[in-house]
Amino acid sequence: MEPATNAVHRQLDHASYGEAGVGEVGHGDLDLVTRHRHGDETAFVEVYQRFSPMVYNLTLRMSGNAEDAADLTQEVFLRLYRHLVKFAGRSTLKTWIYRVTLNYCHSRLGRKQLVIKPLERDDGRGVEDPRRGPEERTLAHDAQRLVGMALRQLKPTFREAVILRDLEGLSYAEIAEVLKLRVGTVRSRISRGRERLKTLLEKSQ
Amino acid sequence: MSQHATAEDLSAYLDDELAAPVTLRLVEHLEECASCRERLRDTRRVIGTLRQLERAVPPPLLARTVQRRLSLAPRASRGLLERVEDRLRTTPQGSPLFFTFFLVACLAALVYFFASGVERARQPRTVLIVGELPPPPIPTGEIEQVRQLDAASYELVDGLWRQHGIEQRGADLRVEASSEEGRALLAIHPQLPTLGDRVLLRVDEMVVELHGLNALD
Ligand SMILES: [Zn+2]
Repeated sequence: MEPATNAVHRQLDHASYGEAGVGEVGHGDLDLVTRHRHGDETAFVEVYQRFSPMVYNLTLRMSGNAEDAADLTQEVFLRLYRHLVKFAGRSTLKTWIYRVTLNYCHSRLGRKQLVIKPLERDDGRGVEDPRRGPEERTLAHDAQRLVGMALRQLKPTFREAVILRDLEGLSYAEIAEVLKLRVGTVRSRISRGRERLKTLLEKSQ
Repeated sequence: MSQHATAEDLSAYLDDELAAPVTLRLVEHLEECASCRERLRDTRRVIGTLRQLERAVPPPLLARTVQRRLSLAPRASRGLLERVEDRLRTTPQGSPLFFTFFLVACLAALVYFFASGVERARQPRTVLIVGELPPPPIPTGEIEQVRQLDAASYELVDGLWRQHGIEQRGADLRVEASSEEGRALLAIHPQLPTLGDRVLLRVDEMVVELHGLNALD
């Protein structure tokens, strides 16, 4: 038991550099969960490698700062570790983890009125992805900050819908699955979120 | 002239999530309506801006913190239960052996739950670390302030609130503030906001950080 656990911990240590490849997720979900259920500790390493960038980015955009995002991500993975055995394969592991993450964000961030912090401390960008070339960094730092701030001013119900669609690239059906809503409601929330953002961004220019 | 497009239709159209007949009608309308074309352009611009937001890489230290916390919080009695479940799956239903095994398994599970519950209660609680690195400065200055909240006393030294006596090692001295539940308790402590917006409590070498307490209801 102990050596296996240590192995996991050593591997987890390098996992934050892992590529999430959200598009590939879905294949072998149940296999991963079965391995975890049978005590194969490397299964959770795989879960962390595949999903930590996704969870971190989602919590970062929901909370608006890197510190809270790191804290929320930790908590989410502790919960995933305990509850992964309950995953029954009715959805993909990806949508299930998005759901666990958002539920946790609601319980934590819901109680706290998010305070708008001074700009210089709070650019909401976290660590820059070194894999991105300069040509991909099309939005200047200031613009990134403005968009991040506008996003944070959205009502959480609109914010999460817009994040899942425009930042995480989920389909309406997947978002409906994550948020347990009808597709029509998802459609409306995404649209209302984008309209509100349009107004906020116009104001900030 | 046909009706103007709704914002929702324009938004869904850009996501390719609009039903075919509605799409047809919308495209026809867009050809003849400059105002809707402009709204479509605006929505497309917002989406484009959002998609250009940089994706962050989780901090490298995060994995280490998760791993340490996992080692402090081993998976609960899942192992045995899962083994029982697997056995049940492979045992032919209705055989006398199945019932005997089921009864024994239930009993064993009960005993196991009880025993592990007792063990869990004895274990020191998981320490919640929000800010781990860089290591907190060791307060060297004079005690600037002392606050008494219930039975605990907090000292402010070099901008860091410390709970009195917390640096002495030993499970018994791990006060409520060091556990997840305790943090929640502490965070809603009616008097804690008097310590300020951001409170760092030092627990051994670690820091428990409580944010925005004034904003809590
Ligand atoms: Zn029109």
